[in-house]
Amino acid sequence: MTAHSLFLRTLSTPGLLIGLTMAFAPVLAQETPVENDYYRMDSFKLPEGLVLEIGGIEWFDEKLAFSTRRGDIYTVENALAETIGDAKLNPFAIGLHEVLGLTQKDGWLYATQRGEVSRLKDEDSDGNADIIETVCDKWGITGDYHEYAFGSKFDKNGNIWVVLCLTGSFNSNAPYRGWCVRVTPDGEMIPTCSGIRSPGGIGANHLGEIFYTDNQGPWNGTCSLKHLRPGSFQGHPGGNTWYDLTSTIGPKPVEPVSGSRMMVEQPKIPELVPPAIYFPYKKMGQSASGVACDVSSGKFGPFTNQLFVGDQTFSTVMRCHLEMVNGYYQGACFPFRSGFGSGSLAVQFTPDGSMFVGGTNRGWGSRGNKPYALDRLRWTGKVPFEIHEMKARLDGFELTFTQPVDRDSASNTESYKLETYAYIYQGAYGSPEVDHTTPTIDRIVVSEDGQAARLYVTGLQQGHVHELHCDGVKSKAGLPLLHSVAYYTLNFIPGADDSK
Amino acid sequence: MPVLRQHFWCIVLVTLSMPFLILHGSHDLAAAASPEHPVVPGFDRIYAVDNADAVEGGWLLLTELNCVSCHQAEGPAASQLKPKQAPILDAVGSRVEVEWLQKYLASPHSSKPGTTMPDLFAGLDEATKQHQITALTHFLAQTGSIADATGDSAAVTRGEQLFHTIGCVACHAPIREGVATPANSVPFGAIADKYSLNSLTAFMKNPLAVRPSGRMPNFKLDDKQARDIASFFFRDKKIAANVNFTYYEGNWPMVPDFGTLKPKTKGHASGFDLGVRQRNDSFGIRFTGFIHLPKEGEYQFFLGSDDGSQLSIDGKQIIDNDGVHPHNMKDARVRLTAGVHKVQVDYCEVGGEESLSVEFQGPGLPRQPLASVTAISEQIPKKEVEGAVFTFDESLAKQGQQTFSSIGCASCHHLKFNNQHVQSTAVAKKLGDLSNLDAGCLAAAPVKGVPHYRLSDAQRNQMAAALKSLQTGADHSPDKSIHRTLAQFNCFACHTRDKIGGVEPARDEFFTTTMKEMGDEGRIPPALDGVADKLTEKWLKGILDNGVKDRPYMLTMMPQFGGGNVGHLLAALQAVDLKTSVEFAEYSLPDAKMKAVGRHFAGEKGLGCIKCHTFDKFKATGIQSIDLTIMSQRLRKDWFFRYMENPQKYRPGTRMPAPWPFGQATIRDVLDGNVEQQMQAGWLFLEDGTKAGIPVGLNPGGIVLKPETTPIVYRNFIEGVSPRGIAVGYPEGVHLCFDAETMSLALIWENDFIDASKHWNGRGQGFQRPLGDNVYDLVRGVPFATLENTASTWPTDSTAQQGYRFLGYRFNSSRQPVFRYSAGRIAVTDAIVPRRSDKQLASFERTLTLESPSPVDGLYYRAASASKIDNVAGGFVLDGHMNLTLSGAAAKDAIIRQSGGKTELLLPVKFADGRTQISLVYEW
Repeated sequence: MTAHSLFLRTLSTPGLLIGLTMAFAPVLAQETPVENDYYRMDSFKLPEGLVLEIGGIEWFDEKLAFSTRRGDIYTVENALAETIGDAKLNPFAIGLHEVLGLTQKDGWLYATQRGEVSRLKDEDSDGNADIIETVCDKWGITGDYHEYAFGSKFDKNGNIWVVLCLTGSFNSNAPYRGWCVRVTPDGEMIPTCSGIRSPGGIGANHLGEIFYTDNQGPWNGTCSLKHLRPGSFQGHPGGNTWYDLTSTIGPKPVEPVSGSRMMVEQPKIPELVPPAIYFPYKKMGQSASGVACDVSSGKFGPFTNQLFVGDQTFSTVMRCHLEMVNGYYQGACFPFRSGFGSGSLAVQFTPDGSMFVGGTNRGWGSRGNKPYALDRLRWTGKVPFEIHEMKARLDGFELTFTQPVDRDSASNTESYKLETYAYIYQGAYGSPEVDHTTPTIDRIVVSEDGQAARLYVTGLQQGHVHELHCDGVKSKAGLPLLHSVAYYTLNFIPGADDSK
Repeated sequence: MPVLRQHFWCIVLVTLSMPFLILHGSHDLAAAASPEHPVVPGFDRIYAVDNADAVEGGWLLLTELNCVSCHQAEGPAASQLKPKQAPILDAVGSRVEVEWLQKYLASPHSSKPGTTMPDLFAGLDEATKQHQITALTHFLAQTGSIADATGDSAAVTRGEQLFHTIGCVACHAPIREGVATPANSVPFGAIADKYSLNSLTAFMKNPLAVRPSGRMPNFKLDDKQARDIASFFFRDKKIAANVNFTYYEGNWPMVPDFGTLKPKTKGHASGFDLGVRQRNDSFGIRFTGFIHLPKEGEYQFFLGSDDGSQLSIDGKQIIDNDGVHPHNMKDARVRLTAGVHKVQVDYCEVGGEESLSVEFQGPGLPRQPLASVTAISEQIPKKEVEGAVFTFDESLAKQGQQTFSSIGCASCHHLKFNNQHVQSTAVAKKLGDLSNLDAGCLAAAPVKGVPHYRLSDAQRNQMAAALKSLQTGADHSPDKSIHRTLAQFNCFACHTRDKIGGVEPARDEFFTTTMKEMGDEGRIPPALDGVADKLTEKWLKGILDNGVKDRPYMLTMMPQFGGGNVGHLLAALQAVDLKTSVEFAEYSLPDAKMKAVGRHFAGEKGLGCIKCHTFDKFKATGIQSIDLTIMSQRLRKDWFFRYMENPQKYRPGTRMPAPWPFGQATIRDVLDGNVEQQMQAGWLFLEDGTKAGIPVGLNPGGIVLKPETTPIVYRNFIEGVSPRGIAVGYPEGVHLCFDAETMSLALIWENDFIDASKHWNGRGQGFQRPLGDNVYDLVRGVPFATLENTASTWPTDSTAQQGYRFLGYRFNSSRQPVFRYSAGRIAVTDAIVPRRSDKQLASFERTLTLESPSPVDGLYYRAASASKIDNVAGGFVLDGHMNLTLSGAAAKDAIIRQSGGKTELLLPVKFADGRTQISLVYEW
């Protein structure tokens, strides 16, 4: 690599070699299992001189394509090679505007830039895009750095969903800042949801429902995963002025009262969809980012159809289990994998069931201390002992596990600790945890097969996060849980209000 | 001091090679500790020597001893003998201690050896003298009162450093162990006895307020610096007890109710001082005292402690800083009436470190220790005079006021009392009428009823000579006037002019720099020879009026002497110095081109100015010398051109290399190596100041994008373009920014493309301007419109409203982007490619191709909108320097019109078989 970084910004040099390195040496026999025993992380060694702050990833033309905050798109050949190999990096397009979303269709790569959704094609098959075509540029942009745009994959109707960050934390200085818009196949823009603050990623669940992550700040007590139901208001009224421009989603919702609670305001504001999952601040992370769903039917392990969400500050990927209660998504989040090289931003599954995580910590620090990184996560075939799902019940929770439990420890209430808290729903920045309670776990019934535990609880709190520690629970094989904590966002208690 | 002198000459002649002669006094340094005569540094240094110009020396004293305040000058002498106004005494009582005043009046020469204040009571009998002095003291004391305070040791250390670096010791003696007092030092007297810490701080902040004469100039210190220097002078000052304390021992995690406890000891203390404790842990102290506030208003109190403390005022707790903790500061605001308030500070210490600080600020009172205004009882302590308590006596004060008028105090000192200036009733002969030149003030021995200055023989003789010259006519040429002013204000302490003055050997070590490698040039203030030739009138006036800080490396500051004092130097200096000798060459290139050359010269690949000179916020790559962006404001163009050929001629010993040594070009491939043209280019570049393009090599954190083999696209926020800018850099060295929001070619420029560091570092806030030169801002707004007629204004609705849609771009075989958009049913491609210009100019060729399924009537293309458009052979010239050539079917039908305050160039668009092309060539 004698080349200058600037030289590399030209498109004429295909086939730069990038090494694929194992981040960790082969695991030695250990007393306590670690994450890498189950999900092995391989870190790409990126060429020196290239700054690849990855904001979007897609599987495109049998290659891994990724986009960067500097505005470039690269493709990687042999990205799925089993071991260190001859993965090749090709510049596909240079000089776009901070691409935070890639998807593909019919040989076109679709890129969400700050100011537009574009599609790119390499017509002469030399590895470089020749056509950069604007699909839709109908949202406003002022030049404020905060006005990011994150684009989804295609939905079942061929639309790309774009979440548009506010101008700063509070304001919306150009049309549809603070909204989610859908870009149709013919380039039209349909304003779809309001109330967005500062997204970090967007993705669909296995049913094609679209979720995005929003970040702690005004009207967001902590970071969360939110369901983009068309017509919904996601909670931050900063962009509501744009209801005046569109009739696609009805009239402007009632303003929430600052200083209240989400589930106090929600019944008064029918459009308000409460966050499906809160990620408790500094416990799960600080900057929720990319969203991806495991639809690999087991290639990635036991968490089929669950959502995986990055956290930029903690350099992690978290795991989410959702259920539908009272017509709204809600559920639990669990720690999943830590130790990514930089601040996790883009999360993407490839057809082989690998997860790719692209990172950057420019402008926002991260635990992973590399300025940018591309990491690959693969299931080793060993099933970790984890809480598989956490579901709410009228009188408690039902936990399922990835492996049969040791009945004694799992049925002992002393093995668990449960507390609850809420966040202030307010226009000021963030919120501490408030309204703490400690419900009582009265008894536990472990299922016949040992895969489930039913917790009977007195004192469930609607609208609270239920933080459950299961430190005492052992697997039948005598292992502790790889991650023993779960955070369930109990917006609604199932069956508690039959009128709904 | 032969050794010292030799050392000095070594510096001057070998290192600095400054071929001027430093004149200095004949006084031996060690012998100058306690001057007998009034010290006028300019006189002592220049005229108190053998063979001095006696008339000039006398003239200097006539102003510096303020003779003309009593003896009126007439004729041409009047303008030359502007009195040196004595300190304004309006509020002297709030500035100066009563005790000191009385001592000083009684014997100015022993209180402050070297003072220029005369003894006004010489020859009087002791009783009359004492009575007059006491009366005067009472009169002056009623102008205000003073409160004691002491500085902290950190402030003393900082103040010592400041005092010895910013230039105080150019005139005053250094105050350092083992450093002798140099001759010609303006005396201090016993400053810590005279002022309070607060009043000296206030004086230091702006000496011109009470001493408008400017002999003590204003260094424009901030509050902290002023207090630091004042603290330095009060380093040894111990103040009297001003708080009561009761001391307790016991282990209290919270402040106990001391009122119910039995104190171990009690007494008075100086300030809220934990020094009264008898052990370091498990004790408590209650401090009480009274504060006398001059004004009603909001006061803020600050209470810091390790461990707990509480502050109460008038029995009401206002700050609770209780509990065991490390030093922790709390504050509170409270509205207080004028007058006396009781303060109480309770403190307790459990273990470990202990500390307590109590401060306040309020109307007219900067933040300071509360102890500076406390007293142990409700009575504000009277000032002691000669050991006795000073009790104000109104009748004495009245007599004092009369004395102030009658003995001539009011001739020199302004004093406004009861809103009226106290007028002098002293009568003295006019200056021109003084004939007996060894009598009166000039008599060797004190004369009753005449101010006694304790003049040296040389002083008396020279003043007599000057007075004689009044009859014969003295030389008041600009040269003399300049010289006198420089001597009066002791400019010679730092500067030389005409080989006179400059830093004295004994003070040399105190002239320092942050850039040691600059040698003496970095630490010694510049010579004043030819200063008005060098500096623009505006800049020179600014310096005389306000002082200046242009040399970032020099620690000695050029303070404010004030236009009223030294403003007349401007005309005199111009009369003597000004030269206009350069004939500026005509140049044919457009200004923007010339500036590009200038920028090249400034950069690392040109003459490398940026290696030593800063450029606005950018640091130089080597030493940090004067900012290039202020050069065209500072320097006269004529001087600059001469200087560029031979800096040594104007600044002997300077490190500045000659950019055009002896008028020869070192860069021969630019502007044909023509020196005049090159200098013009450099000057034009500098004239843009902070708006000038950033010279190459200056931004070490920069991420400069360089198109080397194929074009580079950079979509980001570009200054002057909408947030949907698409910048394209071409290897040919011309670049553009297309605005995808208005479908317009917005900016074109040449040389460097862009610096991406603004967007690629941190969060990337802001719009980035092109990095290169010769940036031309083209038309904005929709390119095509249907007009009813050629008088219809160009539409200003947004492009979307007018049916435009940006479609992106495709790369051609040279990987140049060809932009595409639709305008209603018309499909447009816009191909802009670099072009080689026969005229050696930057050039783009642009082809717009339009396709429409059906004809569009009344469609026009707006090719340009500029301040002016000239139709010249074969094309158009925009704004005087952008050459635009149109070709295509309708080129000959182009219309120049005035619209909306701009000149527009419109071209009718005619389709043939649903297609048409417009070609444009830009050369600039």
